[in-house]
Formats: sequence, C-alpha cells, structure tokens
Amino acid sequence: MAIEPTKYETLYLVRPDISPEDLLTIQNRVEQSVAGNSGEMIKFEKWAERDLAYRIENYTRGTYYIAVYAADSGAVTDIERYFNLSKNNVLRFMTVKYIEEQKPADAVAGSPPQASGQEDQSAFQSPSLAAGEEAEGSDEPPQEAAEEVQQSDEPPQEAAEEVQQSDEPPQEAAEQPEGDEEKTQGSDQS
Amino acid sequence: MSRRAMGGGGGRRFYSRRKKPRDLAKEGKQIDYKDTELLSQFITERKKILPRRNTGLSRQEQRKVATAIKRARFMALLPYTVTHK
Repeated sequence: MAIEPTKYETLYLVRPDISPEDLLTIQNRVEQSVAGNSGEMIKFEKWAERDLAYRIENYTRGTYYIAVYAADSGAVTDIERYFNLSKNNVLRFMTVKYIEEQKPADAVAGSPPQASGQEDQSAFQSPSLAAGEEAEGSDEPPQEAAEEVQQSDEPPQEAAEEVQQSDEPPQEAAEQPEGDEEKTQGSDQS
Repeated sequence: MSRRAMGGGGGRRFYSRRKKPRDLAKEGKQIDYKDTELLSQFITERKKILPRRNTGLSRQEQRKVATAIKRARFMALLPYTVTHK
C-alpha cells in the first residue's frame, strides 16, 4: 500500500454484568471490521474494571476494553456503527488516533534555545535549587517570595474557602482551590 | 497583574495561587486521556478544569490537558461535577 494506514485506538466501556458470549461477540466484531478494512490489530486487551465517575444507565461500575489497530477509516465507522447498535452492552466508546509512546529525551533535544529555561523549571523538584529558580525565573518582584512564606503559615483549606466566598472580584485571586502539593512546596522554599 | 495576596484587614485574608511553570514533556509524561492520575492534578476540587495561570502549563500542553480531561469525562473516567452522581 502506498499510504500507511492510520493507527487508531478505540476504548469502549461495557456494562459490568455482560455475558462472556456477548463480550466475545464484540471482540470478534471489532477484529472483523479491522480485517475487512485492510487493517491489522495491534493490541486488544482489557484495560480496567473500575468505578465510573458518574452513573451511566444506573451502572456504577464498568469494564473498559482497548483495541489498537492500523486500518482504513472505514474500520472506525464500522466499529462505531456496531457499538451504536449494541447500546445495551456498550455504554461508551471513543476512538482516537493512536499516539505511540515517545521517549522524553526526544522532546527536549529539539529546542536548544528553550533548553536552559526548561532545566530551570524542572529544578523545582528539589527545594534548594528551586529557591534560585524562583528568583530568576519569576516575572514577579522578589517580595512575592516573602508573601509566599506568609501564605504557607495559613491553613491551606481556609485560604481556599476564603477565595470562593469572597464577593470582591479580584482578578487573579478568585482561583479555585487546588491540591496541596504546591503549597507544601512553597513552604519548603522558605 | 498581581498574584499577590489581596486584602488584609481584620486578619482574614485570601490568597491567590502562584503559577509555577510546569512542563509535562520535560517530566517525560505524555498527556493521555486514560491517565486520570495525571489529569486530576489539573482539575479543582469541584472538578473544573484549572486555568492555565494556575496550572503553569504551556499553551500547547494546557490545550492537550483540557482535551484529555474532556475525553476522560465522556468515558466516565473523570466526573463532570461533584453534584451529579
């Protein structure tokens, strides 16, 4: 073939009490569709069985299956049409272009001008290096560092609530609370 | 644009969260909608997507993260909200 077929990744969610036969039917059907569109399966596996983030058709749990294949786009329409017809078994499905795992080193090597800045940023992992990085890399005046110290004295929860309840519209201040991870890092620097 | 603490009267203050630059590619992390552990770092307690000024991500990465979160929501990997159960 002149053009290499696109790689797709289809993730689908089936109800937890699906019968093994139905499960097999779905798998076979997916494989058929791929084969029928001059493609090949790269991976087919049960990805996870987990609690759903919200209820779907009154199911709180479900099993995810993942199929990776290289095929013509006809395979995708075919598979998705089938999933649409088997709504009682397949609760959700999604097909995206498959992105191969890439090595992190490759991403860095390509951009030498930014490289130094990026190194600085990565330094925030270690508190001692982070202090220097904060001073240089920050676009804010250094006083802010002092204020950060004050911040960390306050219990993080209270600060977060305060922000939400305030009636004033402070431009940057009306942030949603986040994890405490950064808070603790801030106190490390002090 | 100040990210400093606002107010100060009466001992009660509210604080903004500081932006801390983050580069996921540098950390060797790929943005994938199935990686809920990574994505949940970029949503609030109420499961809203954090703005870029808080996540510290680059424009490109922020977009990838936002898209991934939306995909994860559709697949019921992440909630849309906390009230809807």
